[in-house]
Amino acid sequence: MMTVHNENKKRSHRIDWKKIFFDRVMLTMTGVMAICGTTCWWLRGPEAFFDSFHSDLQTLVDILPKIALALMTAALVQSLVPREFIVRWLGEKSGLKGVSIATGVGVITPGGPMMSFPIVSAMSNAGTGRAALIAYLTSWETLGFQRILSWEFPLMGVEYAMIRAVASIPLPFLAAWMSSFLPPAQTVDPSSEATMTLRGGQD
Amino acid sequence: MVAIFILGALALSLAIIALRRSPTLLADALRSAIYRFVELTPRLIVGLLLAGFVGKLIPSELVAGVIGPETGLWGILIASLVGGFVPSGPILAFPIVVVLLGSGAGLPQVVAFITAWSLLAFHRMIIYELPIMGWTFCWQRIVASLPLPPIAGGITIGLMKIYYG
Repeated sequence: MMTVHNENKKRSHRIDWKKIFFDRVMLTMTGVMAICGTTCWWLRGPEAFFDSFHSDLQTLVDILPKIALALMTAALVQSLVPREFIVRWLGEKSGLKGVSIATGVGVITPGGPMMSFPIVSAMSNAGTGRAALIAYLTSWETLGFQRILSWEFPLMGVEYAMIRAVASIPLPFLAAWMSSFLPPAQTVDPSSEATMTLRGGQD
Repeated sequence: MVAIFILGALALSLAIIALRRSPTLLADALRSAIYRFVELTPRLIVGLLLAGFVGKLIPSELVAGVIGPETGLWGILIASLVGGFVPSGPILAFPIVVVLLGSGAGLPQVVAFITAWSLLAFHRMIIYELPIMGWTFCWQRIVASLPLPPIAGGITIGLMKIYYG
């Protein structure tokens, strides 16, 4: 638990401007954006260009406060619900109960893939079955609260976001069920001591 | 309006819980949220601009014609296919969603698009899932996930019938 906290602190203390403005994703996106903007000006005229600019600005003003609040919520959940807690909850359960718990925990897992995949790996080492692992990832990907709060509420509106979330509730169960038709996975020794391997999985 | 109310209430109640546990916890969370915000905003601006220009370049009649509300199952299948190939995080995917909704795409089709993007995002697969979980788990999860985007789109059609009548 200490190491997780220290990592968070280290990451959050200084702002790396170079990384923000000059990393590959940012440069690629800016490049493509410049090309599209020029093409837009050229093909659709300056009016369309500024029209697009204007509506983007409106969207931005509308969503920035919401995103700020959502990030705050996510950061607080992250510090209030340690990763170990999530892994402990999942343990080595399987069957419908395991899949249901995995789905529920997927919803509350905060953070991006750098958070969820170490959890999946730790769970796998602890002997959690493939169906529950797939349910967990599917749930985190389609029902994760952080994405719904930070992106869908601000950009799609609460109503559409909720409809999408409700439509996605069956998905983790379906994915788990469908995975049962696949050839058996080579499991990590399921009889292994959960607590022992838990520690190892987090390194 | 509703969104900001829900988000504000959530953030406030969690902040109180954190404060009662320890003020450092709250300070740390605040700091990390500010960091994420500063990191996110420039990318979000570029993502919005990019998606906005693309939206201007692609005629809305085309969007509405291919994945509009009347396109039904075909639109859902096309949206699922397109969504599976969006190689980026939410920073670009959600501005695209805004443009799609603004250009007349149907909600079931957009739901299929988001579901496909979030389940199959291959940048995440290559960076995290393959190295951590291995190839076997990866392809099995993908296979188990393939039918999900159209299913989510189909359920959305049903939900909209119930909700909007």
